[in-house]
Amino acid sequence: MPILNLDSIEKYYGSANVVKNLNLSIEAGEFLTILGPSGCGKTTTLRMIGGFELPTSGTITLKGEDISQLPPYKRHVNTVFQNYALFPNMNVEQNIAFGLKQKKGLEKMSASQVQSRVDEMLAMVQMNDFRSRKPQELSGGQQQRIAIARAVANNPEILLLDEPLGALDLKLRKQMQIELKSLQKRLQKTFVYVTHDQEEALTMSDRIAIMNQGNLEQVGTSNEIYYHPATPFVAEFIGESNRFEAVTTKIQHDGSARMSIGEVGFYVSGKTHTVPLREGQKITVFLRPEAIKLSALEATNTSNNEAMSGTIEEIIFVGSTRKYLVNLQGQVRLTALETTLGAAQFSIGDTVALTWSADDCSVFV
Amino acid sequence: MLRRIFTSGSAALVLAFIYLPLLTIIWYSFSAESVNSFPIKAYSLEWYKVMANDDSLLRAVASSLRVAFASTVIALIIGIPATFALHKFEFPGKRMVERIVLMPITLPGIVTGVAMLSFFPRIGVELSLVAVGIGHITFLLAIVVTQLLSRFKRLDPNLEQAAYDLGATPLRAFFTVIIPNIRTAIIGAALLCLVLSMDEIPVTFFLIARDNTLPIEIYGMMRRGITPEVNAISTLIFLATVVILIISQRLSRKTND
Repeated sequence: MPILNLDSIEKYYGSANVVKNLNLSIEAGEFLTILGPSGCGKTTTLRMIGGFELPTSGTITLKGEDISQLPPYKRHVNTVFQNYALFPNMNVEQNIAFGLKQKKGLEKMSASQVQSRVDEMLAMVQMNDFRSRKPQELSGGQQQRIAIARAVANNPEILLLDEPLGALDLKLRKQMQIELKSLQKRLQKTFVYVTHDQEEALTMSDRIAIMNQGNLEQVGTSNEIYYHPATPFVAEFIGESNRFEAVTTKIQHDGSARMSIGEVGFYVSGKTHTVPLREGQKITVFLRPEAIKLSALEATNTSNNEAMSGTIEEIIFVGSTRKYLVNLQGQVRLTALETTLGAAQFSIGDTVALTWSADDCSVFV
Repeated sequence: MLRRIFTSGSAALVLAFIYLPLLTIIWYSFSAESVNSFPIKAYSLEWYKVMANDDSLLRAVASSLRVAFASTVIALIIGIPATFALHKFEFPGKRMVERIVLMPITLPGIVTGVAMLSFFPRIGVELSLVAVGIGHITFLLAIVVTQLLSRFKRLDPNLEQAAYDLGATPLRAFFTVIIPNIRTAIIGAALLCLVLSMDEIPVTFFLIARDNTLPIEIYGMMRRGITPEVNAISTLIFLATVVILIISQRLSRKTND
């Protein structure tokens, strides 16, 4: 049973439909990232879970209880804001204690209970030495830790994180990614994380929900999303892809098909497409650069696919990999990757053989 | 070179134009004579003593302080939540309300004064210090709204949301997060209100009954000629105002950080 259910959520701002018929279930204890370009509705979705925006229609259910119309202060979820939103008039301890002091009735905590919870939180984020500092006196990374401690202190059912690492520099961001992930594992809490940074999403998430223009494009693990994109948008958005048009020339019984780009022919397996193909159909093919193998033309062995030949037009050094731009017999230009451990295998103007596995394409009609 | 002499010379002229009369009054206030004459032959604190024993002047100071404090406090109590609402909520005609609230500042005091003079007795408010206070509140509200609206606009909206997120009701969030974070702007606005109320003549003039406020009392004394006592009281008012303005400037600069 999922801990949170978003059921047919619609959100309009005036006539702008920013979230369209969103259905999403979040499992207890999972790290779910909502990923998408800016303006895709991901932050609005998070804000509807937090209670800062109310859905125009649809229901949000937390642990079986309909919370769609509850104000934020009545929801058992807490948020880590993008700019941290620490209270400048309170020191670190008072910031963390703020939520604990709001509890009423049976949940009301005594001063010593509040203090011990604050201590626990400070220890969790290793900020014991900074307890009496004001937020303004902390670095970005330290403020980040306090914002997390403050949100976790209330022991929320779900922790919402709105691009929490956006303001940090690259190195600190990488470090905090690892810390956040290990914190999530340790606390066994449900994290819903919003980001536009796909690397961040791929690194940290158990599952990723990809949104575009208010639509949920795909929900799946990093692997599923990377290797089996459900829509052309996902294929294009995640990682780098070669995209080209081809025509189906022959369909086999096992669902595999022969494709042609002009004179060039290749096979795709049945796993590469979800809808059945027809002969003569125009299709779009996505192919990861790292799936393309380049080899010297004479040494080609045609295992799965016959080799195609192309001319190297450009070589770009990008650090850990080298990018080859290969012109495939005047039809399309493909990008292939090679690690930079050794010297470059080829040089500009070389004619090379290209091979890839029939499973590695993603085909969309 | 010539240009520098010209610019610094004109700056000096402007400053002299503004402050020379004030300095003259301060200087004359220490004169022992009963008429302002130049050069001053003997210096003394005589007129400060006279001032300290002038009962009607002291009563006027007390009236002014009462009016200033009461109207400032009420203007803040009404003005702070009103400004917050004006800042936070979108409603039809919001822009117009923002402008209308500011009207009492731009409207000539004499118009407001005459209007209130004819309006107040009809609603049962007799001409008195209470009427003066209500009159002051109308334009002090405009001061509070302008001062605080710009501060609210610079306040991170996420702070309020973070308070709600952590379980604070809107009321608690208002008092524990919002008010403390605009505290310096509130104090600055309060000081400005005090100074403006202490100094107000046109509205006060129409609404006053028996008890004079300080500016009205001084105005009355002036009709009997410029006495050195007026110099003394003016000097004290000037000093008090400068101190308050410096504090309020400091505070508003601190809020900008």
